[in-house]
Amino acid sequence: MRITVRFFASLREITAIDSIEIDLPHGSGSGDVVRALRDDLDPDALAAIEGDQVKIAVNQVILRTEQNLNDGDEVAFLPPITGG
Amino acid sequence: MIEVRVQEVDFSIDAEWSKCRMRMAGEGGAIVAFAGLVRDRFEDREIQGLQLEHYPGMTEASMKKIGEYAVKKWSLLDVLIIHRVGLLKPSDQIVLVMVGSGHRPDAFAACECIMDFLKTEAVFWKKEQGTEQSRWVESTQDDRDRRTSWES
Repeated sequence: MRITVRFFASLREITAIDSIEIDLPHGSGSGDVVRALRDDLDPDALAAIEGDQVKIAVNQVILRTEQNLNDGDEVAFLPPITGG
Repeated sequence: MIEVRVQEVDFSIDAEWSKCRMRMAGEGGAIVAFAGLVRDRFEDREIQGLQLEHYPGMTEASMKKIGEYAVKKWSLLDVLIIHRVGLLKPSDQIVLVMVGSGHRPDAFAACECIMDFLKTEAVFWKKEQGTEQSRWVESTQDDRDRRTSWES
């Protein structure tokens, strides 16, 4: 299945990726996205997207726990937000 | 009665104020508005600009949720939240929160609460453009404490 992965703000800069499409086996979960990107990212970028404060959203909803993905899902990595 | 907008262009407080008055018709007894501006300094650093980015769709939903929280908590007639994105310069307007209500206590409280929530719940990222380097702005403990204080 095909998943769109997006990075925002500082994570977009460190990964040098705005948006990328990846193929994952059916039954994959949100945690499999990072594993699938390991070969594409350098160690600093990997550490950044796995940071404690990074939130992951699937189809624009922030995950509380690991979630199974479906074909066409959009997974976004969000660094800490600073509105206002 | 809850309106949220994300836009690159500036906003006019006068124009929004008039629209708020019209929407409330005779029921409105108070309008409280807050506008946030870009400062030219942060701590010891000079700021030349502020780059704001968002996640279209998710950002608007996060702002709407904040407005809905306020409407549940207080008696409000009108809530408007405008947040700008793109590159802003010192003294530019960043954000407008305008709250209309029958009476001033609810309007004052809701306006402050919405602003505190925007700091920690609205999906935006800010990057300060300094004279020598740029840095992503991080939320402060004070922002988080103010947000939490509304839950009691």
